Amino acid sequence: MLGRDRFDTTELIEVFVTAKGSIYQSDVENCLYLTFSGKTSRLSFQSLNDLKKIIDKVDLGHMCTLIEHADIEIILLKDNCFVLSGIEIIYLKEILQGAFTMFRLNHIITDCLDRLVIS
Amino acid sequence: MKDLMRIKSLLSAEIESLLNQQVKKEAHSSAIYLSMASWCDRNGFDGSADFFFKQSNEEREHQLKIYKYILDMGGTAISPDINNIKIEFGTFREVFEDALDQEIAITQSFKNIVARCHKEQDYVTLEFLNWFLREQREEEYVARRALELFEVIGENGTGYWDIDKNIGNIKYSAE
Ligand SMILES: [Fe+2]
Ligand SMILES: [Fe+2]
Repeated sequence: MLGRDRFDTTELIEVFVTAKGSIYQSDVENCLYLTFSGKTSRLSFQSLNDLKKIIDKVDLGHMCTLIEHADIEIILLKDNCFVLSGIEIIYLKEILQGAFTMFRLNHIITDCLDRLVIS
Repeated sequence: MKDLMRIKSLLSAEIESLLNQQVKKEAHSSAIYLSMASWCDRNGFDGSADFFFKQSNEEREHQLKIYKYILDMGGTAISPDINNIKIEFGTFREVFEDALDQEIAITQSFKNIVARCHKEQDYVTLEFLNWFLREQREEEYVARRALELFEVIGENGTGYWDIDKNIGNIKYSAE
């Protein structure tokens, strides 16, 4: 699923994966790879955070009532553009929520380890 | 696995959000004081109008202080939109009653953020907030003292005139 010609998968750490997409972290590049609906985007943590904020704000109920540009949301992010349907937003939301839960968990663990006093 | 979240920002999502809410509250305070200054000026209370112009500027400074802190710590500061600012007040006294209510609400709000910082052991933000806790001591004192003038001077005769002349003289010294 991940385009091996674009980056070395061996250095990537799985953050969160669903049947619909995935987020991997590169500690070497300090960035994240989001694979979703057939494309992989390289994002900084800031951009992924911004994307999550935008996705969380999308009013799905309102989207469904639109007739003309029915069921499509266009999200512009610094170097990326996402054109998503309502169902894709639901899938992406799940991936992002999972990933951020893992980030928080990782932070708690790192924080605990940092505070360990080794005598 | 690197802790990218922590590398990006010192602030947790919850504290960042609370600080952004506080930015909005300070901006709201600033706008309300400006509205009070307008009402006082229109109704001939020049001393009080000056007092509220100064208060409004202070609130703006508070807003920027928090705003810059969020950015300095790697967070996303959000410029707030402010609406529904009261334009009319029933009486001269009501303006000061509202001012005290406003300051009490701000103090409560800071207490809430401080409690969250304790819970998360965010001592850096806690230390930053100490300045505001101290500031609220003064803010509440001044607002309470202003309202007290309505009692000690009285609202009859030249009472309003005297109150208006004395509002600007209220000083707080912590020591
Ligand atoms: Fe303030
Ligand atoms: Fe204040």
